[in-house]
Amino acid sequence: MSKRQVAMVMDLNKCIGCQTCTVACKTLWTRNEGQKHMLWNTVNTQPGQGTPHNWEKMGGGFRNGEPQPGHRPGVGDFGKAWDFNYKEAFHGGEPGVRLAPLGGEPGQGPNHDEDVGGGTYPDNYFFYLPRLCNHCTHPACLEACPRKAIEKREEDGIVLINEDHCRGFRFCQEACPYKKIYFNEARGISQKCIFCFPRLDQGVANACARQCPGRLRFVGYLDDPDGPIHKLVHKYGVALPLHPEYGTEPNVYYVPPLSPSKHDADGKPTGEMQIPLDYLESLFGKKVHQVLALLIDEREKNRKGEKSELMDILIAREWIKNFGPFDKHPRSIENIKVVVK
Amino acid sequence: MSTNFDRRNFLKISAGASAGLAMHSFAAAGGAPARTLLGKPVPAYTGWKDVYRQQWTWDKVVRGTHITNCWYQAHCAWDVYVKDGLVFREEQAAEYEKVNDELPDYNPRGCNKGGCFSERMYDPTRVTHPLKRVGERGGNKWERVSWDAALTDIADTWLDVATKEGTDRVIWDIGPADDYAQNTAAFARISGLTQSVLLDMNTEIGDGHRGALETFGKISFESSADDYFYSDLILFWAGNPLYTQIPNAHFFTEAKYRGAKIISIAPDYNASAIKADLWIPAKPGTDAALALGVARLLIKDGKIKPDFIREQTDLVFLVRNDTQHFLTEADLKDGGKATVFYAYDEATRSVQPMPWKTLTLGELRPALEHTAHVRLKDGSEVAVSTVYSRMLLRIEDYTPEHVGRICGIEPWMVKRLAAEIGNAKRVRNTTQSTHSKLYHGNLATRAMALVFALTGQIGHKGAGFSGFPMLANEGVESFMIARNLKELDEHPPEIAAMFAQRMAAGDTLEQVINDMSNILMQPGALPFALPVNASGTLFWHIHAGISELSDHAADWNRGLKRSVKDHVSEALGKKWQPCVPKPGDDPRIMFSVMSNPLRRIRGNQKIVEVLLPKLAKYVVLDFRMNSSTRFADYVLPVSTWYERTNFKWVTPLSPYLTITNAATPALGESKSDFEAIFLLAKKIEERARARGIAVVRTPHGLEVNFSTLYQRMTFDGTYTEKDGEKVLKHIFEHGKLFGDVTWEQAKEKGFVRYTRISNDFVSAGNQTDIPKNDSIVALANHVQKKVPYPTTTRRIQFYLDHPLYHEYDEVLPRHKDAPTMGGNYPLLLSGGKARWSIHSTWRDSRLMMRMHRPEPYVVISVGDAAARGIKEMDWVSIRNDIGSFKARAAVSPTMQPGQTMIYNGWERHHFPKGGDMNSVSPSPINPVELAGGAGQHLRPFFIQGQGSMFDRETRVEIELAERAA
Repeated sequence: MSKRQVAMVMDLNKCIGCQTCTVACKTLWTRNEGQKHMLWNTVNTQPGQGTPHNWEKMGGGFRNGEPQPGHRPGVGDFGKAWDFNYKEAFHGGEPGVRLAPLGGEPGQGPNHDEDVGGGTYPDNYFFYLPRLCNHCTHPACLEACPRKAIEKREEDGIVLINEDHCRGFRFCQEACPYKKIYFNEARGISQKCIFCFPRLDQGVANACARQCPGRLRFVGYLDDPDGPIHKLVHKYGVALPLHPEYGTEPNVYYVPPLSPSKHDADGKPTGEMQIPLDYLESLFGKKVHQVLALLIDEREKNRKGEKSELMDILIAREWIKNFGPFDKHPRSIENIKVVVK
Repeated sequence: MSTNFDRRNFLKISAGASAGLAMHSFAAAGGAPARTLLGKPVPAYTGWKDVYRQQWTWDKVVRGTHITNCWYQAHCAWDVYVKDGLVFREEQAAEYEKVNDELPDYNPRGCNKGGCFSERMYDPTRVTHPLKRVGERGGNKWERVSWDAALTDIADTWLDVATKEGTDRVIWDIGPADDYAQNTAAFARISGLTQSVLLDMNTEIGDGHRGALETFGKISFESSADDYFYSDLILFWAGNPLYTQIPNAHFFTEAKYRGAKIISIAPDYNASAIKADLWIPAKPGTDAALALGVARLLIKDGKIKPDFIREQTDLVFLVRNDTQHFLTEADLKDGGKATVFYAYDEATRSVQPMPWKTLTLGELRPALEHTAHVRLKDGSEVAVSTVYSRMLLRIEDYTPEHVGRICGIEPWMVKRLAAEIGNAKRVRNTTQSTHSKLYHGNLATRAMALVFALTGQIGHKGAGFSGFPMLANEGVESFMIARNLKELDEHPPEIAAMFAQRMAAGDTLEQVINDMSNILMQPGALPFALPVNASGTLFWHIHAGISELSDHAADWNRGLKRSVKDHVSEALGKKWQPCVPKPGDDPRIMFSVMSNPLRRIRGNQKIVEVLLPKLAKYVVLDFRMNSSTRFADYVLPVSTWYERTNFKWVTPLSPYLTITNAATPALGESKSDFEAIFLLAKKIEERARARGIAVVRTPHGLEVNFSTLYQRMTFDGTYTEKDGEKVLKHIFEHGKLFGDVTWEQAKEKGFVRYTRISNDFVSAGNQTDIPKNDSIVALANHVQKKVPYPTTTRRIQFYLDHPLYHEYDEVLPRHKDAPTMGGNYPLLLSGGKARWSIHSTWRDSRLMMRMHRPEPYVVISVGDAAARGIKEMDWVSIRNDIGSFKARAAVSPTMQPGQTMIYNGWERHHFPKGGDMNSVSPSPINPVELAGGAGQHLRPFFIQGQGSMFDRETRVEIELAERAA
């Protein structure tokens, strides 16, 4: 066990699916060799195939404490990162040639089924689910690594792959039930979200969190009673882990999505929510019912003009408070000096 | 160690950059200290964690932003991080101060596109050197030339055209480069000094908000985005703000937590509908019927605010039953004014003139519903009735059942919408430009405005009808108009006198500003050279032959009373609308400045077939290759937004002027468009002197002196091509819009909150206070300070007493079935702004395409796809009477059966040969949009009143196609 645990809460009611988080992560961390297809942070439309495609059917994790067999997602499952014929299209190719992805049929990228979701028109439903490494309390990847190349940091519980020790055996990819580990073919190592540890070490929130225009990400220590994380996860219990049955105890939590009631033919609300509750339960466990009820009640309180600490936290009037102790401005920090011999 | 793959590729194509720019480089541990080519020491390898730590380091960080037209979501302050001479990433500045304790703050703003401009600016589409076409136009073969060679050739052609054919044969097609700052100063100035033509694009691109102009006399009015937090009902009516307002969207979700309800009215279950408490899936193009149905119920259920209606609207005005015209003083008295209108006063039980210098009614109590008889000046008696009485007749058929049938929704939805609006304390809608792209969208906007006016949901905190959000700077207009340095600081005496006289006579500042910008659409109207602004829509229709697509077509259920040609001749003949150069005077040179008409213009194939052959030179200035550069004679490389200091107009939604600083030098030989235009002016002057050309007479009787062009352009060298920032400083300081904040402070911080609305041509309509510690409330000056509206009646106007509106029975708002534009086909092609691009600016960014789809696609409903044997990812052909194009099929249950959708922004070169998404859009002229005339608020002025282009509801059929090449 780590001494403390940092965690992230994402409020799905505020997620607008804009992918600024994905871009923030991409431009900061994964533009190097072998990383073209990597999106350590993704946002997918639920229900949907997710990233990697159909990851929920790939196994891994634990059941009753026992590791479960898992499937190793290939580069194709994550979606191709196409290159394009720019030169041909703009400089010297046949007149009128189209700009197109190279390599034949493009197949489906990591976010192909955006805004599709479930149901039949006009009884549709969908919502956005941003995902990153869950930095689990009981990381399946760590247990599975024969090189012991995966560490869980003592000071904050961030799970990191030691790239000097990793030899690319990829047991971690099989073991991780969330399938958030990528393989760098150029370097022969596994890579994944590092929870922006260089930023957190300097008191600056993760890029995906700090750059989120929807203001739905909270960062902080789980044991900090004054921080929003503790209140959302423990005090109000409205932030739930994704697929708790995978047995890894994720430290990324979600406030589940509300949806309006369906209506009967006369327009009377039936009380049945637009997003099927059994679907939400399949993602967030049985607690999702009481969480949604609480959110509805607290919103109603606010509508009547009564105070609600929970709503105030989720509204996040002062955005910087979403990040607990990680509230430093990136500009304000000392630029890291690497020793020159 | 690894190198940045994308950057390395970029360097191969970039002749301007030097080597050694890997994002991070380490020497092998234990080896001798290594040095990069830039001479920097390479740190020793100390461990994998340091690789990541090193990745998040930088040499320099400056405040920047993206000077493109993100519009509703403009603008965001970013930190731009530079390492080894290149921008390597950006992250939001996120330092917006809280407005007050109640409102959520504006942090962090930003979006997915802004977050990767550092990738886009170095990608393979970037242009770094002037290119001249080799071989035929569109042949995709280029040679590098020098700026001097390119400008000399262009300047010589310009002088040939101006002397032999006319000064107005040179056209400026301005896209998002119209920053209303540095660039605008440059092209407005060269337009005025050479009498070349600036195309006003706003209505042409489909953002004209015609219905707002018709109703409020202006389009520019909007509250701030944080004001949504005060609302208790937010209507996403005909828009998808989760796509179009990414940085503002948190105000919606947060208002919802505060207790606000959200209702989405849209045919498809879009990204915004999922956040709503109620989704009303009305058919495309039926918003007018729904709004009139709601208005009818609000009146029936007594949910209207009579005092607001009496004071703020023309609904109480009397109309003659014999002529159907407003009753005016000219009817009643010899020498009476046609601009004084009447109401029936319940207090004195008599017909009384309505006040016109103020909205305050005093003792008057104008009747809503009334019919009376009045004696005219000739002694005859006529029956008159109020606009309100007429409106009741107009809307009585719009029962929930009838509306349900038109809209394809359950009648209870109409009732529920009316009840929610009627019971809410504060209702606001989100701005949208969907209606501007529908042939009858103006009627829909007018009907929606009626709902807001009847309930008094205008001009109060958390309540309001959204127009066209735009907030600019007055200072740039002095560069448009000034003849000398003195006039940069104060209006020319001729114009100052006009303002003084009009204001003294009781006109509002806003009205005079609108009239002034109308004058800029009439070349030669004042005896000195002003910039020539012309209607983009009419330009393309007349000079690029777009109208040929519809003029010879069947009526397409437009209900035309006369041919469109006849309507256009009337509008030009009566000077209701401008077309410069005049029909028959072919354009000879066109500059597209960061503008992409071959991507944008509906029916764009006509540009290739009709306009391009008329042009001696087609010059595109841009930082990237695009649909238009493919057909250019010259491509001139423009620096990007991180390579120059600039700012741009913003919107009241986020009332912060946002400044971008030069983070790195411009790549290769690229120059700012500001600099390029000044250098062109210099070259024209040089060539004119060499060729002995001086004064040339314009077709409108003015004189233009080419031999002193640069001298006058620069105010005798005071503002030259090197002085872009000096121009900005002048603009910044001129309007005194930012309190005590100096230009230097604003530049350093990157953003500054407006302290008052700018009284410029494009944003004067806002006319409201900008409180330091509270939200901005649109139209508050009218509602709270009783300042008249800039309409003919000086009220929110629902009765449009113009001959064209009488001819088409649109004097009052109504529902009209959509025309069958394109022919009799079963599917309605609709569209929308995409999440993945700002117009086309990021559309072919590989990063954006990798995160969604790499090829253009049309979204088709499950049923329509199945009926045609179409499966996900199939290539399909979309066709109608005027053209066809191919795209991938995206089959989605979110799409309404009968509706199909292609999102905005795909480049022409994204599509397989044979057509693009504009190939099926004839965009016929709607005759009522040609309105104009003295005393009418329906006339062309900056960004409004000029006729729209329509692509929504185009009729198409879709079928399986051969696999594309």
